[in-house]
Amino acid sequence: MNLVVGRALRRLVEWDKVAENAGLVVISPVTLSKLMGSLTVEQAEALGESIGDEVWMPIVLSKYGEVTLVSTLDSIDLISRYMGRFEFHRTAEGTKNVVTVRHGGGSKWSAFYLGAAKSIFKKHLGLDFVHHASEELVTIEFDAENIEETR
Amino acid sequence: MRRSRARTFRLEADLDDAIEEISKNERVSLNQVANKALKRYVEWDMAPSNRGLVSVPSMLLVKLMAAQSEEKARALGKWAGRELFLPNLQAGHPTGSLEDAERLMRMLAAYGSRFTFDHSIGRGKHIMTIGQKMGRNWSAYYAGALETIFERFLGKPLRATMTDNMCVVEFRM
Repeated sequence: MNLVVGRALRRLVEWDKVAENAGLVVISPVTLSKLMGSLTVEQAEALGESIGDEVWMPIVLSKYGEVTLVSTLDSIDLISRYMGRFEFHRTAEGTKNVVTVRHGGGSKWSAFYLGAAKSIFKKHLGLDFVHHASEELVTIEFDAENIEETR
Repeated sequence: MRRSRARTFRLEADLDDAIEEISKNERVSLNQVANKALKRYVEWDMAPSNRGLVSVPSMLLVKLMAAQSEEKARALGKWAGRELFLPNLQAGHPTGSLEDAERLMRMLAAYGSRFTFDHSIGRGKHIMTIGQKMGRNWSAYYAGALETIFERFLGKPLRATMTDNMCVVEFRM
């Protein structure tokens, strides 16, 4: 019973305010896929970039108060846990960071997440990255200071 | 008056601090904060018909639907009514009555945040209204969905009327 109550309250504390501020709404993933399916890959990438600019950054600012690499990575982790759209992994070795978003939604969703990464990491954080995209996932690699020390 | 019971729970300290802060900021009791979270968890998060649903920014749905024609949006709504809503209704409520459909619609409106739902009855006429702020094509989508869902109960074709922000179906049982 403690676990159930803890989980319900944790969601309220960590997520509900963020979801409200960001104007999040609920939809079936099948409907979402049908809508995304009507776009071209280029349109999907542009859409991801605009969502990065207009939605992601305000989420980071409202939740963490500043846009840094640490707050950005924390926000991606938070969003992956509560939105149910993708899995997020990050590995770091020295200054080399690898961020993976595994979505399983096909090439258009990869283009969408790549567009969002361009907005978030390149435009807003000024980090150059190399990327790899497949039908299942998007991976970006970039150099940054040892960010664990800045936490 | 609803019956209540007293329960005791052990919470992690940071969680306890956080809900105390919410209680102070929103000027509501801790009981109200906890009940709101638990009610949502029981009614929505754990409901079989809602498992697998995802949260996305409304702006994403606005832009995706704006890329469709009105006819395609309506057809997508019809598909969603037939392939998603009605099977979910059957799964959660084997009798699948009109009242069950209305209850599911109210739940989607309350927790899904995409639309508002209202049902009024006057002189035997039912009026179901969906209000939304995501553009005309979303009205077309809901019109298609409502037509498909309520045609099932009436056994005859139904035509919804729509504006940029709402759609309405009227029928007599």
